[in-house]
Amino acid sequence: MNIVKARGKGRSVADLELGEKGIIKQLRQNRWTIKLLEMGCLPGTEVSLRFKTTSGGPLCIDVCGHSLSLRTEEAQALSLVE
Amino acid sequence: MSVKSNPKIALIGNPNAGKSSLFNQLTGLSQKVGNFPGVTVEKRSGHCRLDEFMTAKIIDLPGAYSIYARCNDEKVAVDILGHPRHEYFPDILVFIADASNLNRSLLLFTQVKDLGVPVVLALNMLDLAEQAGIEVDIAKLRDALQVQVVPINARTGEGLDDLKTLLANPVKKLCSPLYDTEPLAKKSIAEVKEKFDIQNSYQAYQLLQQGEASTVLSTEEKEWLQQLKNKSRFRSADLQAKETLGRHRLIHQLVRSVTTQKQTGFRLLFGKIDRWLTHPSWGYLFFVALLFVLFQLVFAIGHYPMLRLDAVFAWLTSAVHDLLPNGFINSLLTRGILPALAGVFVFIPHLLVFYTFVALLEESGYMSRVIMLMDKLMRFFGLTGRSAVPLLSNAACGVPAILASRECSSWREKLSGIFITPLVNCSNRLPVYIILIALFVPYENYLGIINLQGLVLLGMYFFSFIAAVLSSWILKLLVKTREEDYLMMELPYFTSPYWKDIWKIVKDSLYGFSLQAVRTVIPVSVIFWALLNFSPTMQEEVALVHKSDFSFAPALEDSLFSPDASYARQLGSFIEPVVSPLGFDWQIGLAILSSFAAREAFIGSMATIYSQETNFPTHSIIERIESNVNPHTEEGSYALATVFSLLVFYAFAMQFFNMLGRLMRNGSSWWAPLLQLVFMTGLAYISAYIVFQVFS
Repeated sequence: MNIVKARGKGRSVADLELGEKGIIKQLRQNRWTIKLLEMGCLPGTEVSLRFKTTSGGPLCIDVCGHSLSLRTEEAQALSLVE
Repeated sequence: MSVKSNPKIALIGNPNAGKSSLFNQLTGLSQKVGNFPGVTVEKRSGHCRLDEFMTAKIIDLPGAYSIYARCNDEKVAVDILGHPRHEYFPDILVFIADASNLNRSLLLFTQVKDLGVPVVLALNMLDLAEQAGIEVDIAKLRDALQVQVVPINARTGEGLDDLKTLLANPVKKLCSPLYDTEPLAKKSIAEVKEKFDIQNSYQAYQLLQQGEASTVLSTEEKEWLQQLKNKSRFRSADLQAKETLGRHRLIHQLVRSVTTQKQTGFRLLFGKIDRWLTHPSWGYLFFVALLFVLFQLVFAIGHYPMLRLDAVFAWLTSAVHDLLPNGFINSLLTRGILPALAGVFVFIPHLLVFYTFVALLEESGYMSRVIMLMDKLMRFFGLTGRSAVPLLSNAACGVPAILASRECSSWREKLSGIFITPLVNCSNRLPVYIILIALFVPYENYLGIINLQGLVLLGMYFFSFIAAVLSSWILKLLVKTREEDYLMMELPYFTSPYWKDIWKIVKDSLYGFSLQAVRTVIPVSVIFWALLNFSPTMQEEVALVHKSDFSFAPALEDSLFSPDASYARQLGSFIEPVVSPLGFDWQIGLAILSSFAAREAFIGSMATIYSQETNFPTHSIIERIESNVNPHTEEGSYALATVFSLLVFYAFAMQFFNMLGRLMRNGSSWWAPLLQLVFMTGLAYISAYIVFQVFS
């Protein structure tokens, strides 16, 4: 299963540049995991960063056909395929 | 299958899938708003005629993305759909799916379908899907999901007849689950099935997952479930993740097989604008500018129709005055009830403008941007971005809005909700501010276009906002709790407003406000009229008048309207020393006392108090209040200082009776609201005092 306990070493969705695309590799197990899965953030899905507010503030990604706003911590739970 | 003559039909779907529009279309005017038993979650229900023989009861279930509930709103859905013996368990469930995003919509759909609830899929937003180049093969979708599918347009009402026909003649067939949960916990599911005598595996599985939150099960049954879970090492979170992943895999395959995606030149409307709307500096600037314009327009547009309505009420009052013989009834009507009603209803134009703008902001999707923008700042103070929205939101009032917030929130947010809400400028408060400001602040323009009233409202908004944020910050320092909340939410694309839905929201808000106002204002004005017109010595006077000839009737009137000896005057002189440091006279002091019942009461009592003089040349409520409240018009600043002091007092003073009732129902102890009352009144008094001293 692509849900891991530890935090991955590589980049996460929070590290995406404006407009950059990436593919979700795995989800870090935490209290948001199920909610992220429900909102379509599945391993193997393509995401792209639509816009960021302040650094460390919420950001907005396009995933699974809709826009999703996430906090930085929430986005960090989604690690990307290198 | 035999159909009951009055089937129960429930609506469910993702947020933003068009559920409210469909509900409005189906039920029309027969809507009722109440609560689901035991929780403060709003329940909307209504009736819908399916054909000439059948009328269905329609229940609107709260929107959700999955069956796994994280807040009260979502718990309602699983509680009802997971238990066929629940009183609201529907005969048929209508699932509203967004055709432009089937992947997301179908997660919850497969879950409710697997629960064994008879379900019909209403496919909405096909026009949006078409714009995005998505084509859905409805026959294939029907076969793949083993369910009836009806294409509809919830906004225009297209396809509704087909839906009704289908609901009147349901086809029920047993089918295998779309996603089989049995392998996840085979033994436990079998045990639950036997214990509760159910056939459906997913129902049994859901009892294991979320049975403890059920309102249907007994404590003993819940304990039994808990023991079973411990014994069989039922790991809820892992299994939920596994199930969600499995369902998604299934759905992705299915959606690929039933839809074709064409390339289109379709571009999102305002795709880039979000970057600016949530920009750390431009975003705030835009928000403030928007509020400024909104508040300006409320008073600029509302002013002239208000004058017309005032004239109508004045005409009506003098007509009643001339028509009825002098006496108690005449006086009660023309100096009590009618002026009090006028005090509220002449401001309907202002409220109409205000509610329309708020509905537009909500429906357009801008509110979600404000939530994102504010989140980081609000978290610093121990709130989330969502707490910024109830200030403007259409939700009935701050208390239920925060306690049973539409979006889920942590219990800490709810706790601070109890203590911070009285400080927050909730929607119920803004309309009252608008009326108070329109009544007491003179209609003056600066630079030709900027009106003072709009500026004062903006000032009041920020004043309340800062007070709320600061007190929340203090609470954060005092109460240390683990943060459990999250922001994650779908950001709806900007959509052009749909006027029918907007009008519905505006109408409901206006109606709700007026009803509440009439309920408070009439009894208050009657009480005040009585207090003003009766005096401890009056019995003798009236007796005297009755003994003598009837031509003494004018004498009666004189005694009625010399309020110097009245109960009100005596009560007022008792209050006066307390309120005079705030710049209030005894009349305002009395009116403030009444406002502890509800904010609207103040308007009613002021209107009644200032309508007492018989010789006043006009019945216009606006002119009467103007000439009375600003008796020191030469020293204009003094009058304004009184008004500011009054408004600030209002920002803090709480509506005790309202709040008490709500808190009781939410299971708080009796002393908490009492403590609140003392604290808030003290705060109100001190800040009003400071404001009056500064401005006078």
